[in-house]
Amino acid sequence: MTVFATFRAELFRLTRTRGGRFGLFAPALLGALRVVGGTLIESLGNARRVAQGLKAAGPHDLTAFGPLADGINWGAPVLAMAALLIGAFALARERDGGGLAQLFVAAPRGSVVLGKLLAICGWVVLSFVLLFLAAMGAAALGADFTAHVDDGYVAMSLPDLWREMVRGLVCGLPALLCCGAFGVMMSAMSAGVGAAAVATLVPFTLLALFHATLGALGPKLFTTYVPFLSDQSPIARVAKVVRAFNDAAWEPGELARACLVPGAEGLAFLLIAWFVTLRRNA
Amino acid sequence: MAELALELERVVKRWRSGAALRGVDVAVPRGAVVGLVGPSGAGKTTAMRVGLGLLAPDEGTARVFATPARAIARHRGRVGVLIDGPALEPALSVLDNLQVHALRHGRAAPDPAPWFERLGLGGLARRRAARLSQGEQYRVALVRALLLGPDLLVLDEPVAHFDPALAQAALELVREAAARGAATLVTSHQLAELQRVATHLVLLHKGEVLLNGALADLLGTIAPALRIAAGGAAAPAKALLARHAAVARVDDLRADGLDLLRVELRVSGAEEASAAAAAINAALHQAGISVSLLAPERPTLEELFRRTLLRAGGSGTERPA
Repeated sequence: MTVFATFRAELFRLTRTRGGRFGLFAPALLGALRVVGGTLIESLGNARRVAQGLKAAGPHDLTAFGPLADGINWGAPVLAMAALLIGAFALARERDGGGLAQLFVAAPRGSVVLGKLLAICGWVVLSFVLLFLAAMGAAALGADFTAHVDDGYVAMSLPDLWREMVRGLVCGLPALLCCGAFGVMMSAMSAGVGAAAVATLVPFTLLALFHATLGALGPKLFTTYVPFLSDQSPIARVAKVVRAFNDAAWEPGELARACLVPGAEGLAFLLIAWFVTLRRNA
Repeated sequence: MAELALELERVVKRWRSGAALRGVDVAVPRGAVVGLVGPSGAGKTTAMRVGLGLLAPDEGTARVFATPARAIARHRGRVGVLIDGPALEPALSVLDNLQVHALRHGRAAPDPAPWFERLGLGGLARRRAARLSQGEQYRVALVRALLLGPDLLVLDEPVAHFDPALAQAALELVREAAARGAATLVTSHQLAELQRVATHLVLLHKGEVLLNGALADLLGTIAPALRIAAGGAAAPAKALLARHAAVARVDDLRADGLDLLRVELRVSGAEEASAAAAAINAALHQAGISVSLLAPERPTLEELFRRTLLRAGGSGTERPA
């Protein structure tokens, strides 16, 4: 009950502040711009070819699924960064502003941590849905959501395309939620907002950039990471899958891993945040 | 005795720099307004934080409604808090801040208009908290503390940023809450205002309780005093009074352009004080000194504060901040 109350209050707060609303819509806007920009650049390229007396190139994408995946692929990193920051602010900002007393009088500390994290997850899912809808709308302007037919050969049927798209996105979503959990953990351990933001963004980015140093463990751990930091992300790979590239297919166990690893990591982050918050003086 | 809403028992809290609380006892019964006063660094806020379960005591116990303070959230909706500043969400409007507070407690926010009206917040309901002055933020924070009709109020310097009229209005709200049975623990450096509303007093100094009890009883321990205006004969009057058996001490005062003498009596109780005043008046009259004013001095919290700190080895000039 107290978890639900905290969840409701936090979700209300996140959707009422300017920063929260900006974070909610920015990934969708960027995703849509990527799709529209891609179509625009393709049109300009064709116009230039025609002006040079060359034959216009055929469309880069036969269906709208490729641009849709590209749009989501651009918006998701912004959403991941927003989730990291919102997580980082979750407790640190209350600590800075003197709001911890208000929180801990209203709910047990464990409920506060869990309720805040669930609210961030709700916010991420909402933002992800908006991103999907915005990219889909923009993609529909340039192409149709049809089966992938190449020279009369049906490479992927329409249901197959939707299934692969949804599988890739659903399996990529836990990584984004895990970003929020990582931020909350750092927030619980930090002294203030600035420290929490730095402690969240810097290690996250460095680890992702240098994940090769982890050797064989890297790909297993880095399923949690966002598309622009790792091509192992299902969100990054789905763009190739729905374009029916020859080398694009899900590896055995890849999607299960993409769900389970961030889930386990997120749970670990949550437990650490919980433990630290319980032990720490407010 | 009324049910205790908040209780600290022999609480010790140590920081690296030393002990902040040394065996502090505080009891806040239902319907009481307990003023927690003391100079800067006395440990008032630390005591409040321990009482709310925000800090774990090193020794002793802290209880809220007879359960450990650390589990204060069990009583959510029953505790209103103003501590660590107004702690409003700056990006949210005033109404949204109150809505978030109510949602956290799993309740619907009641209409805050009556409080807004009394605290001069009309017209600010939709303004973002970041655009409010500090005084306005404290007023909103006080409304937030009162919003859900709490049974326990813990208020740290709620009127520090208010002008006297607002401070009076705010403390009137506290008094009304107490009248309907709420227990209140409040710190304030405005001792005159606090004296109007407090029923009990705890005076902390360097982490120790110097005074603890019903305010009326504590004020009764101050020796009765008189204020005497002797026209142009202040000096002979002072000399005569200094020799009088009922007088413990005579001080010069100047108030409203008058040369006044403050005469501390060597008696206790209202009746003895009254008899002593009559005797002093007669003695002055016999000496041919015309008395234009002879009035009993109401014991004040400020005086109690000053004297207690003097006895405790302070200078007596510490501010109750």
